[in-house]
Amino acid sequence: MKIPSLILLLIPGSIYAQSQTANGSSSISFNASGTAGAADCETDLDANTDTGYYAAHVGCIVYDVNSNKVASGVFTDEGDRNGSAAVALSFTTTPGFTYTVHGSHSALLTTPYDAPPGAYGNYYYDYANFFHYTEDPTIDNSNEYTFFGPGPQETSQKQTVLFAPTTAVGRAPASAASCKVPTGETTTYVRQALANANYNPSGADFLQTLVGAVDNGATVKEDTNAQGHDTCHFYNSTYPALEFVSGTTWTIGGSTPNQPESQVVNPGSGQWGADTVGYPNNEVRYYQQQRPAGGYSLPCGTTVPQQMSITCPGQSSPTAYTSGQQLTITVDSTGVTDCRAGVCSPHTAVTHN
Amino acid sequence: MFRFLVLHLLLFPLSLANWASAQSSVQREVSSNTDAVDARTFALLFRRENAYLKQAKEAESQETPEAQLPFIMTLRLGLKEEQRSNFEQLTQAWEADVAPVRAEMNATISRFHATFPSGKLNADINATPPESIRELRREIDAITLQYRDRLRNAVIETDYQTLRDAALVSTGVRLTAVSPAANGGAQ
Repeated sequence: MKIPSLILLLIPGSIYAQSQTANGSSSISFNASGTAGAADCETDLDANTDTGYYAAHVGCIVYDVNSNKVASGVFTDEGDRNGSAAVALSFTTTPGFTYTVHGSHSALLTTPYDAPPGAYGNYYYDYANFFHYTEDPTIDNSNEYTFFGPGPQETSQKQTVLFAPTTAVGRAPASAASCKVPTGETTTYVRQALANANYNPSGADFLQTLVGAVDNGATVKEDTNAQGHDTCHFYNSTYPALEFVSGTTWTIGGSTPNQPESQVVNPGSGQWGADTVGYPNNEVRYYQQQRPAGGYSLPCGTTVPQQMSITCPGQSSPTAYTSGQQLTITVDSTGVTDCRAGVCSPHTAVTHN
Repeated sequence: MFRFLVLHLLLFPLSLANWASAQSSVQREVSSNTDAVDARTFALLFRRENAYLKQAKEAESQETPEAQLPFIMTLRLGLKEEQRSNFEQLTQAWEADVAPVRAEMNATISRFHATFPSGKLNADINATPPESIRELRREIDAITLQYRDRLRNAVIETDYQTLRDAALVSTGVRLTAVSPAANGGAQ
């Protein structure tokens, strides 16, 4: 139940004096080399609430950039021995990687109350009447949360008062000194594009492994300056020629935010991707239909040079580390074949019907 | 939503026409309530550091992330290496001083709850906790503030402000200051 602001303005002054707070926090930090992390979650009861009627409870989970759980813990202050519940987690981190901690905060009602006449079941005494304001907790997406719950006292059949969760995000430091320019990279075909609807199934996902360096947390970018040649494009074609790469930037050693295919391919240490190569589905279908209709031949395709550069943490300008491999796409009447640096996807069926 | 709730309650005595000046009064409330904020912040900070020290002591080797925890705290608070041991000693001394007061507080709560028939409350029982519970809690807060001051005296002022700001961020209690009854308002 959300409380309209106007009603809050009309709360009597006597209740104003009975206020109490429960405070939740979560935080995350790292050692200087970015190899170890600490995450803390805590639920605190203030002096008006730390009276033996509540046991603070906290849950704490740390996730890496690929949403893998790397550490977790829970603690309940049984018997209200401390007036707070805290979890301190430590975990191994990869320099340059982002980690997120989620804290869940609640209080358990500790004191049973006689059921009203004719009622059945367990009742608990809610001294601060927390339930009155936590029936519909709000997620505020921050690492701090203050609950403010005036009385009057009442009873409840529920035993756990849920407060809002807290979240904190941090990035393990990446050492610029340990970041080197790779001598090259190898390419592996992984799968047809899956997460990006425009390229499923016409695009192919390729995963790259750096040679001569690991460089997790650094970024790689494709240079948009080199022009290729598109033989599918024809005069008055609906779609422009595909002769340049899009200029995407990827994070080495983990998923790249806002890159849908990167979320499903999961690059490992020293890897980046996925680099999705392909025409969009509708362009493949268009060329399959319109080229024969216009007297143009199939198969057709495009070849685009792609030069990669790396930017280490703390650096402002990228350094090229490949001399320009070829991206090629071949469209025939039944489907497509996508290649990167000589590594090709299987022929994939794409038809215009 | 709840942040707005706190503001609304603070603004209750004020008319809506005075909204702008009321915002200022909230800020003044924050600055005048430093001790209340610090009592919670530094208690949390000391608890956390003690938890870190215990985990680091039980770590199997210096290579484990547990062993790194005290160093992470040092980095987080902006402490210099030579200030770390002093911080650790103060933290452990705080825990030793607080423990007997907390034990007395817990014993008082237990005695109070023991008066409930079969451990249960009913409408005929006065459920208001004894005032001594809150007094003991205030005593814990006072001890915490003493140790805050000892820590402040042990480092130069600029280092202390850096430490306090970092502690406020990592403990996330800054907002608590706008609650009018934080740290022991009258019941």
